[in-house]
Amino acid sequence: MKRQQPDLTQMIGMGSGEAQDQRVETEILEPASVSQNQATFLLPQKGLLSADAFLSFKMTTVSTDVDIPLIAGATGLIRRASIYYGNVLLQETDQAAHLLQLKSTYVDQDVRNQTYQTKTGHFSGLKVDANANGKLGMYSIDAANDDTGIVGLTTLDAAAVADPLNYGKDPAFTLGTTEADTPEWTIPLTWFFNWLSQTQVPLGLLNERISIVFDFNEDLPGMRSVISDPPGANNPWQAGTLVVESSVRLSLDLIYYDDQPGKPSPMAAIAAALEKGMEMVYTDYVCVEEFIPGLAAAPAAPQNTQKIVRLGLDHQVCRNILIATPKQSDYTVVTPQGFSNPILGDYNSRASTGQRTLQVKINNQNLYVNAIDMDCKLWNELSQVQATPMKANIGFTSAVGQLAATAALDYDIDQQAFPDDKFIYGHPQGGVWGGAENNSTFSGALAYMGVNLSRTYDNVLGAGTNISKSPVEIELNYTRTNQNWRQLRMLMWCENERLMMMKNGTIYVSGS
Amino acid sequence: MSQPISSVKKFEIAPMNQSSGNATFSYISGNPLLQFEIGAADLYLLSSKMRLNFRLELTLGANNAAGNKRPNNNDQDGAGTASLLVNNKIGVASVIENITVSNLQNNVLEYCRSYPRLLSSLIPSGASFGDYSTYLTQQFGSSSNKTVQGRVCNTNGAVGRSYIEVSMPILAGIFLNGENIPLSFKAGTGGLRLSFQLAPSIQALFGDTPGTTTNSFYTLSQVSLTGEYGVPEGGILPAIKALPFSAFQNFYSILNNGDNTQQTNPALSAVVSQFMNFVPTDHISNYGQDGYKTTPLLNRSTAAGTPQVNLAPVTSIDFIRSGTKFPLMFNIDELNIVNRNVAAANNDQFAGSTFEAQRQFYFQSSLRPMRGTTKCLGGANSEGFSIANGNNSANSVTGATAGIIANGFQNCYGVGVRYDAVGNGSTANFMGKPFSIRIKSKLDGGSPMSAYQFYLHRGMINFDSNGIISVST
Repeated sequence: MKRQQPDLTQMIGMGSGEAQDQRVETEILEPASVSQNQATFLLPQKGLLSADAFLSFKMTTVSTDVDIPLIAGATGLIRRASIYYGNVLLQETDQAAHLLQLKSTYVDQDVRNQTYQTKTGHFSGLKVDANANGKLGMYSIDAANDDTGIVGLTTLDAAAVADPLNYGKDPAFTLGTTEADTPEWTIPLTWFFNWLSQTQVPLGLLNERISIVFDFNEDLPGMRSVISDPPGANNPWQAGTLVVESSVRLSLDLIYYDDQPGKPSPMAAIAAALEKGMEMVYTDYVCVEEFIPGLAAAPAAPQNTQKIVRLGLDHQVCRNILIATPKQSDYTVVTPQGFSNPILGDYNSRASTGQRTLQVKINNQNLYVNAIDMDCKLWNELSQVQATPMKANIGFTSAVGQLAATAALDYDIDQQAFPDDKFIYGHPQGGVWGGAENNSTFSGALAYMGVNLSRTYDNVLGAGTNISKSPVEIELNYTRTNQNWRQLRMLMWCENERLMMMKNGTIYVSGS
Repeated sequence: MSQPISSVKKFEIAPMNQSSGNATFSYISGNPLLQFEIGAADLYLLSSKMRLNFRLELTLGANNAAGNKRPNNNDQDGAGTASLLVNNKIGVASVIENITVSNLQNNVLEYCRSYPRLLSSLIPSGASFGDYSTYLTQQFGSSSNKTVQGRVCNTNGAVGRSYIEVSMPILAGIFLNGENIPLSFKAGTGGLRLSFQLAPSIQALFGDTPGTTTNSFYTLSQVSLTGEYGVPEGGILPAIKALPFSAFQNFYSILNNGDNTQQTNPALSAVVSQFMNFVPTDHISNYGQDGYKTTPLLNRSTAAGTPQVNLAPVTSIDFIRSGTKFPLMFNIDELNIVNRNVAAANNDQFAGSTFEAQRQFYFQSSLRPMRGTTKCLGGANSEGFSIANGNNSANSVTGATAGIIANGFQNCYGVGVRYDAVGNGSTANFMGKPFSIRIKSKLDGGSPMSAYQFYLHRGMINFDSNGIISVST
């Protein structure tokens, strides 16, 4: 969501032409501390921080049969990102890899195809494909060896370029076993802390230092990495996807306005303006995790599960709620069956092959006249969260139209949106993974939900909905079938408004 | 238009003409009308949030090889193809023939005729292949090419949740800009009544297995209109004397000759743009043909059955108002891209002609201002002419028999011009000033092409002191 920019230069009445007359100092900041669990950066107390800051790092594996999740990519490393002013928490984004993957679906497929793979190793673009039996009209990940696919994806059996079965990644985009042969990834800080794009942070004028802490996900199946085998190899997942500690860095652009002869000092003017105070509305995410219990065994007939979650958001102004329901991984299992999703790792949201309905109660009143009862309506409500639609194929977000004509609501491999006999990372993109494994493929793997609570997309105070003392109640009815009966996680992110004031070199924030 | 809104309310409205229970709608069962009423109240209708939601099921006219009436496009189940589709560029919008937007006093604000023909130009002009692979599958049930559409159209009803589900924005002119529409009688439209006239099955559906495609039909269920109301600050809509709105006006005509002048009298005072798209007349209301394609001009082939599949390239276009060229003071001259091979098979003499870039530029501009266009399907590649790359993985193959995907001229072709050339809201007056267009082409006189012409224009709702509304266009 694009935010208004109360630019510091505008505050002091500097013209846009003058504001271009700046000196930029790029600084590569080493972490104050770094381990396999966490990296902490202390930002320097100088200059104005440009929004174009980013985290860069490398990861290595012990085996090339392990690689980063296909869509979350290298963001799978980041569990939580927090930014502090002194000891004051300004913003925290928990379950960051999940949230970033969800938010990436608001970005055009064409943009993702051309930029996201180089930033984070994200691959999600689709092409029209057929399965190996000649069933037409399916989608595959857009890999080709004839320069028509996404840069970074290839077909692995070069002899069969015309009808490839196995898709994979170019070695330049796969994790290596040494620091020298593994790619470096970059994540813009604004992906975690959107408010950094609203203004330049006057680091040099603050009394205390800004620090940024990244907590890393554990090295467990599906978190940092997934199995990336040749098809049929059945090699297990191996621990040992490690962050290269010496590669963890922040790249910062620090802006200065030099004094011009005969003109007032711009930096002094900015300092004077900040003495008076600068106020800014921004948003923070409150992340809550719940569970939808699994059934004891695969049900013979579809069963409804009702989950009611009460979110204590007393006196917050909430702009939206985003929801993901990935299958709970069994982190003790190192074969694909244990993963939440063998291709996407933990980062997915699984559709029911039956119906889902969603109702939200705010201040003891139903938000929707009727509970949202169709997958297309759930998608539409998720699309209202931002000013642009959620850009995922219906095969990713819903099982509708992909099922066999049976009351059990099983997948039909000939009707699925993705072919069951074409592989990425050695795993089928479509197909029926029911039974004991109860695992999923691409079908219905991005069935996120969202609730828009804003009256406007502008970043203004009170754009969201005032929550009183009564908890926000989310009621999700989720049909369990023999395709999907294991325990699900239920991750919810509530985007709440905060007010930040910078005055006399101190940052004050409300509500965090 | 930006009005202060203090809060929003979500709404869901059922069709006022539905029967009790799980109502269905279809042309074949005699209830081809969806009618919704949005009440008059001190609220804004946030038109950008309004969606028509429904499930669509297609049913064959006769049993397929497996002994049921489920379409089996692409021979997906292996028992034998039973083809039945909707156009892949507009998806299930194919089943809506006309939309009437009026207020609750029965003043018609817009009568949007040939809605699928409108969308078949409007959607591709602002969408990419990526959009057809992602969100347009959700909004319109449209897809990246005909084979994908075939799989999607293999519906079988509630068993197996086998239908197409959509949450569709309504792209009538009045809602096109996503403006907030005041709804009260005193300071607004006086409520809205939306009537969706469904299309005959024979027009909406097509396929190439006559034994099962003929007499096939569609059924809509779970129909609702959802959206949001904006509550104005203070709870009362500010008083207004007039409310501007946009609308589409449609005309139908036929081109047959190589030098053809069409004249219409739109009687509209504020026209933003004008465009037209084409389809062989034989393809309209024909179970064997897709009536919503926007093909180039086509001549009949001499092949068996004389299909209308031979390119008849446009050589020049003049836009005229009251007998003088307007707004272009020159003719669009495409003569230099015409290539002729008199010995071509099936008399397809002009198949080697290349892309009419200037025509496409003005056509694309008529649909969206070029400076705001970041993506569109139409272009040399998508038009599938001799310079296209033949990539079967996308929807860029449009020729009749190219590759494994026989899309059959799934072009984004049309002719048009924008009067609001720089996109600043200016308009041209056609009140009492007839519009005409002269198209020179290689049409042979024996191959009628239907032309659907649309005017995007501005109108005004005027309020007098007694709250009486009049609509001027």
